[in-house]
Amino acid sequence: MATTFTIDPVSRIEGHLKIEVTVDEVTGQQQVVDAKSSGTMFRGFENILAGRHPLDAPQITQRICGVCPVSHGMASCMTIEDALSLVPPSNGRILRNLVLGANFIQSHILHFYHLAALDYINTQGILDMPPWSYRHITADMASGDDAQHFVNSYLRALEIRRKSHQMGAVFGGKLPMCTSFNPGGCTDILAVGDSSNPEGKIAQFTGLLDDIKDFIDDTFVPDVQLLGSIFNSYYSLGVGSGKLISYGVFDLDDAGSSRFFDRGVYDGSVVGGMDAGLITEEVGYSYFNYASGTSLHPSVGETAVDPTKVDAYSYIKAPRYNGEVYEAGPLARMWVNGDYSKGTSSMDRIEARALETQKIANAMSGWVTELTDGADSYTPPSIVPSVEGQGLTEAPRGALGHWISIGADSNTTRYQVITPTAWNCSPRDDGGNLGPVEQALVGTPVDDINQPVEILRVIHSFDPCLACSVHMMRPDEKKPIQVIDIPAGL
Amino acid sequence: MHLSRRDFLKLAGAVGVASTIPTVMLEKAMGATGDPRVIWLQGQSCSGCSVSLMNCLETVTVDTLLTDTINLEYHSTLIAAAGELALSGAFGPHPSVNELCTLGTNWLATGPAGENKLDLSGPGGTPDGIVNLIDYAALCKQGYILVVEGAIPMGADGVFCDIGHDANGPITMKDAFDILARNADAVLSVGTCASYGGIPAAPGNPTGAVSAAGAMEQLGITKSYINIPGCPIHPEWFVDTVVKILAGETITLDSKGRPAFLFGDANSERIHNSCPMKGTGQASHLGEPKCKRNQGCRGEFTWGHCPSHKWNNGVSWCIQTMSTCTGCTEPDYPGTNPLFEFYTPPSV
Repeated sequence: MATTFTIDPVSRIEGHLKIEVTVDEVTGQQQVVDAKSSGTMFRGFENILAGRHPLDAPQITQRICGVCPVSHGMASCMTIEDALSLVPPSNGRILRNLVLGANFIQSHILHFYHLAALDYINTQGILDMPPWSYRHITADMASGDDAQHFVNSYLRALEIRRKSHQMGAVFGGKLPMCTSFNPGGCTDILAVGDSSNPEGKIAQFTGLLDDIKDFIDDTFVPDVQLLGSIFNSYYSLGVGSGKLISYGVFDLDDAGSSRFFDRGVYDGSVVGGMDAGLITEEVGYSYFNYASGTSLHPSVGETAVDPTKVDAYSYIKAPRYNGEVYEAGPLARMWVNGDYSKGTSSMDRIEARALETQKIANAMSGWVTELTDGADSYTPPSIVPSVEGQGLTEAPRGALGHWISIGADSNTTRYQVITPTAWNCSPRDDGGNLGPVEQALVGTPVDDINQPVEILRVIHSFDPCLACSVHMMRPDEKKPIQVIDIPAGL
Repeated sequence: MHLSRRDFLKLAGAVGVASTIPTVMLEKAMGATGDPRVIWLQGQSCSGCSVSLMNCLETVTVDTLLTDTINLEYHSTLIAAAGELALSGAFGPHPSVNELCTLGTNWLATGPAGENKLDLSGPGGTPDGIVNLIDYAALCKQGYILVVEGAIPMGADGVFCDIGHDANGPITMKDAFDILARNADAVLSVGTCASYGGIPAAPGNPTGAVSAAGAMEQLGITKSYINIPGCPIHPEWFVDTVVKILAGETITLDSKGRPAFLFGDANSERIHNSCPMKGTGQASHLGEPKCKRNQGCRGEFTWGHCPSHKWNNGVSWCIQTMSTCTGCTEPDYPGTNPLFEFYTPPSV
């Protein structure tokens, strides 16, 4: 007999996520047969950006999310640079990659230990104070020495993620939100007020990087492998759509023709190139209305929010690539880049994320040596009117795109963002096809609906960030955005 | 193997270095019996303030803060449980029908669910279960510090932010704040969104986003509150304030509701007054080691200890990256055209 229940809040993510699942007996086992993923918070960033000077965008858009703000800053700078045909100097490109890399590392360590691990560990008798004392407990959770080991790592990881932000702030100014990312490059210079000693900041950066690399190698990757061996069944659970998309990230040359992680898609069979023109968003099950069309490219999106829309269940739209359901994230990046191909299960996502962290940290040591003492890192931009731009990069959680239109008055007329969590926590599209998290949940066994840890394990493997996915609305250019008055009690 | 809290400190390698709080006060706060209960509620938030708080090092590290300084009974980013079990950390156990009956005749309020009323007629609820929110709140957890991160959308009866679901249906941020603020000993607004509305409440605000103080005014709640702004908050601003509270100190507030020991109103305490770029000539663009007033720097209109304490454990700060101060601790952040834009010279 089917039972439908709601988990809200899904905790240990960023932001507000509700999951509604239906479970039923399938071949003698209670498992998920249907799922709905809902973003339940909305802000409306486009309204705030419209009419503002374009250079405000990298600062404002970083506040879309406090876990991946650097990626938004990067995407914002890139979209404006694209609109202005501005190429940052090499030093600026490298400095931005280093700050971005530092935040990738911070985010991935935070995710595994502080967001995901508690799904797998019985902390009773080890961490008995809040917030850990409010917990689910299942018989399959790691306990005893294994649990103690993970708790020790959890506490050490708090220090390492702090150091990762400290490292990024050397050239970022402050983190989580960095101040040195501006269209034209990175405003920070290697030696502040002392051009004869640029080594000071570089030594500061690499000293922290070495500590962090030690933790990644000695603790993070081994812990992920240990978890994978204890919970081996999760290499078969949470498989999702099996199609992966990566915009690529960490430009290796100034022209943007070569990236540390390639741009491309895996269609379930082969890896191939990605055509940004095939990205669309549908709103059949989202609280938005399109006045014309049903599957719109972001550059022609027109939307009004409608909390009363029948059948809608999320403030997230449904991004699709070539009309199909694609998943973004470290697994997608590593797969498209040829670095991982074991599978697309929830444990594969966790393993790929850890291996990616190691790959990025190791590469950063090399990137530092490419900095040129005394060379410019920033070219001041000149805003030109009536131009458009696109910035495609990757956040820790996956493919991130910003699109700007600058008007005749040189102010922002349109600003759009599609985030990785929009891809991953997408609701159904107009055809009723489930989004990646929804698909991944179908087939997940649920032993006890009051302790739904299996569901949490699958959801957390995607590392959802909901502030990212529900921030945007795209206005009809002729009509201002309306808040629909709804009667009390709805 | 059970670990005492002292063992945690050793494991965590808690470090206490130079901070704004004299050591003797910190020890008194750390040793206070009955670590205070803290409920951390996120509304229209980016979580940047929580992430920033996790960067604290001076005074306490975040692990010591959580294991030995406060009882963080609800924070949706960190709490182990999900769903209703997690919500019990914030509200306490779900009131039973019998408990609702103890509210007397008021619990069967007339009229539709809506303003200041909760519809409890879902599964597990009562047949005619419209309850006055204030009466329902009386059955929820009492006595804690409520921390608010993010703005509170008051438009359309709060539908633009749900913080959870219980047996009775969705719980809006508006209603959650209504209940939790009423039962709190005090409210700490962490970050500029909670303190002043911030980015969600900037003009163009389609959701009716307001600050915690603004929401309390609309909901008719009178409660002591402290604004600790910043976009994001600096971790020391939160930690140093909490340590003072634990030590039983009275926190003097400035004219914007901020701890005066961290912010203040005097011109001499503006960021500009302590800025190393002051008096070095005018930069013609970002990236130059000169004063950036002509590039829109708002250091003249902004308070915070950024010049002396910097960010991320003294590594750098906004000015040190040859960029500008965007005034993120002030009530008018992030401004709008024509109030101010970040890189346009202020029109004063």
